[in-house]
Amino acid sequence: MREFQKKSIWFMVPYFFGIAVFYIIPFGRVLYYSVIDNTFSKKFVWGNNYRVVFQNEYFRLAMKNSLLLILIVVPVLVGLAFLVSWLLVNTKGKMKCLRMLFVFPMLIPTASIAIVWRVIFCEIDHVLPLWLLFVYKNLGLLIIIISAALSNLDLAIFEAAKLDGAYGVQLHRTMTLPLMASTLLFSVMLAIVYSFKIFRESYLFYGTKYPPDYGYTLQYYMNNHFLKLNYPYLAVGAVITSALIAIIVAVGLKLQKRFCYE
Amino acid sequence: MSIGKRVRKLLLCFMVGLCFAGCGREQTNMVEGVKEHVVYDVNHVKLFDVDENSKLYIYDDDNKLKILQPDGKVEKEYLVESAEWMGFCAGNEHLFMLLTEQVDGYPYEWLMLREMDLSDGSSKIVYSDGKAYSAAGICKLENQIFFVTRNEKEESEKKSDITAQYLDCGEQLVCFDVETGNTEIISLECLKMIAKKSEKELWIYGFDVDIRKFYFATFDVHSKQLGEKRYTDQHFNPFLQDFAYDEEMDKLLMLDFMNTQTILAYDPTELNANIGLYKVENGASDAQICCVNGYSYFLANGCVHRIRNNDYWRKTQQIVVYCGTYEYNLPEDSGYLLRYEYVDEEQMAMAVMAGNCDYDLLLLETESPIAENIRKIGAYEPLNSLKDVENYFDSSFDYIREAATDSNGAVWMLPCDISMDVLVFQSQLCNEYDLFDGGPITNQSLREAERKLKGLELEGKNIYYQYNYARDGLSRQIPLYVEDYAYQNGRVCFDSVLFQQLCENIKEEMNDDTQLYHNSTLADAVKGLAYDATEEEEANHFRNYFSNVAFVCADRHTLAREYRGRVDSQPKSILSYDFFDVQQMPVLEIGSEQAPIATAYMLVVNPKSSHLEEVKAYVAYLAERLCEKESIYLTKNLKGEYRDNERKVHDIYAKGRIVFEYPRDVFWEDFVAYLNGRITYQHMTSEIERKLNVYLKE
Repeated sequence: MREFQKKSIWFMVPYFFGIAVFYIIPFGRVLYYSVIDNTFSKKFVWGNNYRVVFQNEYFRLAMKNSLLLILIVVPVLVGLAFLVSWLLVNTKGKMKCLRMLFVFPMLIPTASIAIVWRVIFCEIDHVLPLWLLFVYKNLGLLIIIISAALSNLDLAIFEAAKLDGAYGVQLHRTMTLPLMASTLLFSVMLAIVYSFKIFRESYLFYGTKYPPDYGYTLQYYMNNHFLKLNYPYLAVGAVITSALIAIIVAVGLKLQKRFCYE
Repeated sequence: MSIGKRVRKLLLCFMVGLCFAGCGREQTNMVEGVKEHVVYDVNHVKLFDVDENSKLYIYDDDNKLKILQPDGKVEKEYLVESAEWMGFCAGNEHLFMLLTEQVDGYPYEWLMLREMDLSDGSSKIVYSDGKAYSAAGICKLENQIFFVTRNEKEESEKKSDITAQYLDCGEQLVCFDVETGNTEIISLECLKMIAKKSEKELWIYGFDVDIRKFYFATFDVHSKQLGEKRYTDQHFNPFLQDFAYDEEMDKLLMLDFMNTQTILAYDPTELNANIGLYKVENGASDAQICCVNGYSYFLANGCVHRIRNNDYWRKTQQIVVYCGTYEYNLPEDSGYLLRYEYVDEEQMAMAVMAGNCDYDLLLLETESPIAENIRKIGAYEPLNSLKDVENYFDSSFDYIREAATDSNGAVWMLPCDISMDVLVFQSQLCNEYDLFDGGPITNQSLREAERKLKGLELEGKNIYYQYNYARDGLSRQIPLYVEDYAYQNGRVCFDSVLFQQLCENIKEEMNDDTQLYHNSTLADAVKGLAYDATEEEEANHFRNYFSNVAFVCADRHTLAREYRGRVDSQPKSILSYDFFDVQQMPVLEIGSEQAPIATAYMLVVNPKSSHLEEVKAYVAYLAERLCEKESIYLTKNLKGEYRDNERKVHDIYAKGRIVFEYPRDVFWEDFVAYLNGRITYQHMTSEIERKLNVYLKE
């Protein structure tokens, strides 16, 4: 067995190599850039870039908007996906065509959706259209994931729970949700990751690098600094975004351990 | 006779002899440093060829065929029959001429290959083709003559690809064997042109219909095998008229006859870079070029010129220039191997931030938002050590040095050229209709002049103009406001009386559309000139243009007649004509000292360049060139003689300034939306203020 393990390590080498080349080393460079004044003189300024960035009103605005998206829209998206999936699974094949309908937005090019959105919501001076666009674009994927998990739930457990007297909301709170916890947490994390990728939709919807204050997210901050050749601030933005995602993932994993049935 | 007298007499004879030798125009040998350039003393040359012994064969306007020795002496001369010559090649005391001749019984001319024996001047037809109407190149390899014929073809059979700029003219490669007299048509699809590579190989220039690109490839005449295709890139001008191969340099040479009038050398393995060897100063007469024994032969002013290619080639590594502008071209005849990459703003930002040696030079405008950021982050190699750059700054306007120097005194870029708009008036028309009062031009006086012309239109007199307050205001007045009034004391302000007035005036004029805005710009008029126009024709051309145009707006390229991709054969500034008057473009506030904004075309050296010293040497060379030639657009103190208008333009340019503008997408979209009536003035100003705030403070 040990011999087998020794041999199998070699099969992991390409994996570690890939991780190192494509993730760890570039991220190390980004960390390095975040503590120097610029990429040419390369003078260490340590935490000064972080201080400047945190003091910047537009960075704080971007951070606030990104967090609002995560805290408000992501739960709504996952909840909606769960609800639709539950309906789809429990209608026993009657609404199969509806499932296709929800997947459709994933197939339509973002640019086309953004144009339609601009036509429909051109008069609304609010962040809601953007949030709605985010939900519309990502709902289909989450429905696929959650409905697949729902379909695979063991019905015998539910029958047993019913025999024990669990019905209605209580059944779902005590049985369905814990059984689905890992899938739901995965969906939440996926949605959060996608929330950081809303930039393309947002850019096409607002049609500018300077969207209204409510639509100004971290990606705008980073992209605009990219065009200003300001790599250190861009790197700081990237590090903070990564840290934010890392914290969310860590919390998610903790929650998963707490709520999941092994 | 005493010995002293004899010596004096001999000396006198020797000097007289020297004088005669100097006056004789057998050939002019202009030696610039070590650069050899010879002009053969035979005028009105139509076609020429050079054999392997560097003997020059010339066919001139008088139907004379002359053979010249390498030193320029005429060896033989023949009078030949008048015909339409397409090309000829010489060797082994024989000449093979491609020409069209009338054949009895046929209504059209036939393409003929005529062989001439140079020992006795006799000639005979060795090949004729009734289907071919023209030819595109001929060359002799050992005992074979290769030439390309152009044949009539049904439209349906043609493989033209307009998008890829390929025109199928029915080209065919024909091989004539001198010994046997046999001809053979060699099947090569979509061939365009040929050139001799060696005694056994040809260079083929053709089009690949599958890949939809032009290519160069070698062709083994014995095995009839085509070598590897080397494809040209998008920067290569596909309308090639002639090319040659220099074995010593291992380069393909062509004369860019239509555009830069420069002999360009390409490495066959890398066709996206070229060396500008020599610029034909007074205009090439034809694109014809021959390369023999390391020398290039070409036609200019009806004479054959010869240069030694190696003298003009600097043999440096390739200098990669990332261009963010299409408005300006670096001098083509530097002798450096240059590769241009046209990149957009994001690509340029990526290249700069990568901090590697992918590029050597950045060529961009000061209008580009990235320009100032390059200075801010220090992405440049200081040029302070280059004496030529310092000399250039000493001789040019002060604001050029100011813009090129950062707060630490480092010269971070080289402004190669500047451009600024001026108003050009047709004095007589303006006086006749009393359009201006003679004082400085203001926005108000321009608007009033426009209105006067509209009033004249109602009376049936159509006097046009090429400056529109509304349309041109967009691109010229708004940047002036943004630069000087938009951001003051840490506050962005667009909701001001001045800006409101400016916007309302522009909007008002925008809605009042007129037919009097002349469709043809002055630049169009200049470009519309024939290549071979005489000075008188040129003057008439401009006089005609201005017969009913009262005033126009012209930038430096129009005034100087120097365009990217086009060099006039007689580059005479339009300011040389006296029926113009020029004035500075109006500023925003009447009586203010607001300086006009000049656009500078600047070069920035990549500090990470892998061959930094060579790149800096190139920049020093450019600075030296800029210094050498006095220019009314750059030089601070003019020493030469200039006309009044030229002096006026110089004074206007002297008052200018170089600014690094905010990105136009900060305010442009909202401004256009306001003009189109989609948003109100208040909405527009609040949006512009918000965006500029974000840009400045994020």
